[in-house]
Amino acid sequence: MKIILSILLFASLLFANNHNNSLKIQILENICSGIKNIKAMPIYSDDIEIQKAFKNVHRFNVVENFNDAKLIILSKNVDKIKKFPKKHIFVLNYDLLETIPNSFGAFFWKKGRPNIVFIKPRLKEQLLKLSSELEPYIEEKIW
Amino acid sequence: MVKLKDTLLVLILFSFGIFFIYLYFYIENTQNEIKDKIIENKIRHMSNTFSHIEYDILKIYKNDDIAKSLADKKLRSVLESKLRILLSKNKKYVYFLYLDKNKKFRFLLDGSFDDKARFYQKFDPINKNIYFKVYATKEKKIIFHKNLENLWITLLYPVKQNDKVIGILSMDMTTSIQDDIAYLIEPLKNFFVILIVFTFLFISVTTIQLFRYFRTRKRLFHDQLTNLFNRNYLEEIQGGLNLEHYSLAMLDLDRFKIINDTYGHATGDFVLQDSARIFKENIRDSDILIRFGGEEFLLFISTNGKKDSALKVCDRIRENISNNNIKYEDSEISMTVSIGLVEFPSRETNLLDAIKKADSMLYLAKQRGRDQIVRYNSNTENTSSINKKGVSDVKTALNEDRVICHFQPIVNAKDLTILKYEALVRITSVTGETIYPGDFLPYIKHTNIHYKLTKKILEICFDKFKNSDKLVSINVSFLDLLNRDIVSFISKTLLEDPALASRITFEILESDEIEDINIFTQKIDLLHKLGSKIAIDDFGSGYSNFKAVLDVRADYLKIDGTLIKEIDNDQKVFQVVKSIVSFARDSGMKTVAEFVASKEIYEKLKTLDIDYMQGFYLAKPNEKIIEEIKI
Repeated sequence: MKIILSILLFASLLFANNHNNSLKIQILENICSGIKNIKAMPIYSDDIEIQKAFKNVHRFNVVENFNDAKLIILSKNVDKIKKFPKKHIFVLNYDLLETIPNSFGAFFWKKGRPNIVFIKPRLKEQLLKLSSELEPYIEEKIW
Repeated sequence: MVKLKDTLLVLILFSFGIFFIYLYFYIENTQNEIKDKIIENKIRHMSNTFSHIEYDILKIYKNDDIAKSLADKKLRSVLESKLRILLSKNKKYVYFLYLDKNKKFRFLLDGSFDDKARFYQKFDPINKNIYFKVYATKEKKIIFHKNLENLWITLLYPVKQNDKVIGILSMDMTTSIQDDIAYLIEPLKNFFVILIVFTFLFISVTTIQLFRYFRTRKRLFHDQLTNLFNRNYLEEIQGGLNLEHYSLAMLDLDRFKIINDTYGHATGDFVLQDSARIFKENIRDSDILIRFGGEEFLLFISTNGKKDSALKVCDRIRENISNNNIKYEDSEISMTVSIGLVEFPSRETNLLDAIKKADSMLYLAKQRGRDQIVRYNSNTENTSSINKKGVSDVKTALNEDRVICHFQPIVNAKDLTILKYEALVRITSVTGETIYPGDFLPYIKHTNIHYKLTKKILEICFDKFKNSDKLVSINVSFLDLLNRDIVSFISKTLLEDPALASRITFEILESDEIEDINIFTQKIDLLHKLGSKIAIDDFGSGYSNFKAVLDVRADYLKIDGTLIKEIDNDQKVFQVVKSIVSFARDSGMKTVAEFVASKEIYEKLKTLDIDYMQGFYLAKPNEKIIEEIKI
């Protein structure tokens, strides 16, 4: 009985984890679709799951190489990013918005809830425009 | 009775199973109630604490905008440390939210250790409407999370100033309380799950056993060939059978043994099946039809509120059997049925007695020419001396080895030397009395017991004469010679012992049962080939067929005893016997006169030049072999 219960618990945890991951992918898909001028841009992510999932979305042009990408979804800080100031960076951590100056927005979990933030001056600077659905998430600055 | 207990056990177990399921859900319900109580308690406790924090926040609230009041980092630090006190294992996040002019929620205070938000950082709550409701209703709200990992409930506590909500104190609780309750209750629930599983497993096993019992019971109480009830069923029900509600009929397919022996057992089986089908079609649901044995059937005809009389039911059966020829492969067989009917079996001592009466009536129906119904009444009983010893008595005697043979010498008429001995069957009663064949043979004539009795007589004689130099005559009927078991037994024994075969004469009664003379001739030829002799018994009575006697090339012709008895009184009889003796001599057969009961008969027969004589005047049948004749 204990073994069966353990298996069930493990499966439910896996399921819960999968649930959060799929939610994350779904939100990111919506975000990328909602940024009007990067729809056709080559996308790269250092998050393998996002990379894999986005490859299955036909409207995204996912590239394998960091250099070939125009939109980069970053889960962690990478030093070489500083060498490519012209790339559009979307981060998966609120703190990275400060660390990476050309990051224009972030998706992250706050208190167990999914949160989205776009920084208005950076959007403007990178000439990025958001769909009306994403506009409520625009912030004037990083707090 | 045992199975009644089992059925009760299943019902009791089933009740327990239902009770355990009820208990399981009752525990689950209790678990939810405990959970609700804990939540209620926690909420009350949290609300009390929040009311203190609210007081502290309101103390520093100076203008219309609480965000500006909390802009001081030191001030926030003090309040956040107060909030932090509320944190525990299952109270993960505690924070103060603020709704800005753009309707965005922002963190003003965050007492959480993990995932701490920055001052004025935007917060995207799920169930945003509930947050707005707190502002609108000015009442605390609880959010039960379903899709958030690790979060269980969130308490939203409005911080009010002058009846206006200026912010929301929020506490996120993890699922650990629920887990704790589940952890405590789980063993009890598991116990009941196991109990329920085992109870229903036990119910399943018992049900399977019951199912098997009823299947076995069906097999036990049903005849496999006809699918009718069998005698086991009769034994099962006889205790509870109210004979006042039934008439009793004994049915027997006429001449079935001839069909079985002539066409083979497969045909015989088919005839039985088809006859059973016709029987069933002509009875009612309330009637009970039992295959009593062989081709005999017992029918309990329900009389309780039925329009059809028992006689009508029997007549319907008889007519339908008679009118429906049974077709099997290339053969078309016409069948008839004889029926003995006891309309009021409850008037008999017991069921067995009623069955005996029905059996007796059946015998009368057979005697009167078959294909008819004989009803039991006091007259039929008085006019017949039937059933002195019936099938069951002979069967019991066979089982208890009480069947014996007496031997009566057949002597040479000229010098009174003994030629051979005729084996005459007797039954010794339980009390030691000798029962003569006239008291039992007629009643077993058409039953399997007759064959068993014949076989027993053959065994006794073969055994007694195998190491002897004496000759023996054994009575067998034409029907006996159609029986494969008997023919096989005779053939096997006599082939192994030709000397014994040569000392045996088979006395065959010439009767109306010999319907096919070719088959009869074949059987006699077989006995001849084995080296035995043939005697035609009771020649000169009603059905004597001179041609048939010539065809079978009999060795002896035994003149019917009813003629011999009258020979000294009736001149016509004397002339008949004289003719038979002349016919036998001309045909190369020896003559035997039986029933020589007096000196007068003996003297008269001597004038006819009869070869051999047999009778009480010469020697009575005796269990021991008589060596010498003394007149």
